[in-house]
Amino acid sequence: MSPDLWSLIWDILQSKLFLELVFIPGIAFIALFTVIVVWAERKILARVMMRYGPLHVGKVAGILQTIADTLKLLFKEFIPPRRAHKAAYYLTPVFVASVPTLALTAIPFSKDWVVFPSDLGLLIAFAVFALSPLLAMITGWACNNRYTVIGSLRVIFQDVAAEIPLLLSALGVVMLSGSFNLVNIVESQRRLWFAFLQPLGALVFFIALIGEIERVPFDIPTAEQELVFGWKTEYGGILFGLLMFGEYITFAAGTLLFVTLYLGGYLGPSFLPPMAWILIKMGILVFLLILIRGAYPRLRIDQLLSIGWKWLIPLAILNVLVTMDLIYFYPWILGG
Amino acid sequence: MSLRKVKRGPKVIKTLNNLIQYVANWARLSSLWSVHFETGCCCVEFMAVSCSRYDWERFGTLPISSPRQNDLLVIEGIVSKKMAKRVKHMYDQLYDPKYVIALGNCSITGALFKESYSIVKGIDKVIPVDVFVPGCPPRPEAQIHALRMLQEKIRKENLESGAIVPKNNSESLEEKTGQKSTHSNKNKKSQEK
Repeated sequence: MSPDLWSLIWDILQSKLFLELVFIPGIAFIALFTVIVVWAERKILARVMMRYGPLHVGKVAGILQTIADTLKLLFKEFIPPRRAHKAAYYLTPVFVASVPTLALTAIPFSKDWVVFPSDLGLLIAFAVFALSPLLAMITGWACNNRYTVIGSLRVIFQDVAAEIPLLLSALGVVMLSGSFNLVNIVESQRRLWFAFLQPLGALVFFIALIGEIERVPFDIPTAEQELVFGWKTEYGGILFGLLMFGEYITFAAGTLLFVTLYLGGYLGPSFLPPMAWILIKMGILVFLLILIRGAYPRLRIDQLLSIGWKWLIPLAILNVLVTMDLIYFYPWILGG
Repeated sequence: MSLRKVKRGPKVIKTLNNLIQYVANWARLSSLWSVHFETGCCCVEFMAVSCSRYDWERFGTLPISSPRQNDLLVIEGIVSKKMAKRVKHMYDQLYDPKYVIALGNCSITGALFKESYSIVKGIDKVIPVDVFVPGCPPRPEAQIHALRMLQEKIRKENLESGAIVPKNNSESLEEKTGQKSTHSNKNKKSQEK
């Protein structure tokens, strides 16, 4: 091959975009996050229930459990149901696993480490979140099974109830920092994290986020005791693996977004690099969410809707009003 | 779904095939996600084995509710002739490779209700069974032993011996536990006698 081609490949390998796409927040980060968090979730949930959890696969604390699960799913067969829409059945898991990764492109891992730096980064993340009910609906409809259809309808109900308070509470952050750019939002938290400046908004955002990423108090679309496995019922083999993969990428994106908006993102004392700080904060949040999964029972769909419409939205609007008031009358609280 | 056995060809391909099969077997035995079909009192013991103190998630099992995602079907308790159709249906809903554990005397032979006109005398007349666990009901330790036996069975599946697994591996479990394996119908009947 000509030296030009070699130098071109070398340039590509050295470029920042390549590093971002391959390592963080790219393929390596997503795969490692899924492997570690699924294992940690099973271990922590087992500890909450006074069990050991995975122990014998991979000698040390069942560390290879997730890898064994993934390999098993790869070697397992999958058959579409007879009356299913075949193309949609095969294609949607690929989209469910790949679309949430777009939300990671907007998250800043340090001041100049963003895949897609944009002045509307926050809106990009929310737009990607808004795509998930559509994919779930297509999945549930394609399987042509009553459980999957009910599950996907519940996804739509739930996402409408969770998405609006999510956007409204993030509006407070936007008003304080004066920008939709996630780097600017993080930089304006240098004095004080927004979680302390507006605790109400942070609380509403946190609860709505659990509903958005379908974690346990609000995992109504996949309620195992009512619907068999919700909109994922008919999937087996690696297609099911892809659906779970997509769920955990959404989990990563949601926690990263909360850290970026309210917990100062990559900011922290300088003895660690900024990338380490955002990952540490994310790890603590993931641990908290897993503990919540172990501690709380699931809500009914009507309870979730009444929480979303009767409490979260008014509280988020109240938060917006209070923030407006603060900015207009007491600008010294916000540091001038 | 088992990998195709290579009958002829160079030794390298045989070894490679064996290696992939070995990895697949390891993955399958380490993550036997289970669903249970409860028709009798044995399911209480099954719950005990899933909970703390006996916890068989240690060996990589995971209770998942949809049969599409499961590998291991545990039949517990008495199965009537009407129910046998549902058992068959349930078995068909699982995707390959799938394994079955028959739990308790009732599902093995019909035990106490053997004389009844409406009882299936042995679930292995309806679906293939990998491991029988006798007992009324079997202790959680016996169920964990059955799981370990199933794992030993999967470890040797579709594998030409000698390439990766040492040849004497087949007797390792029986040596360890001092018990005869109950994999086949033959052994089961001899135990009953």
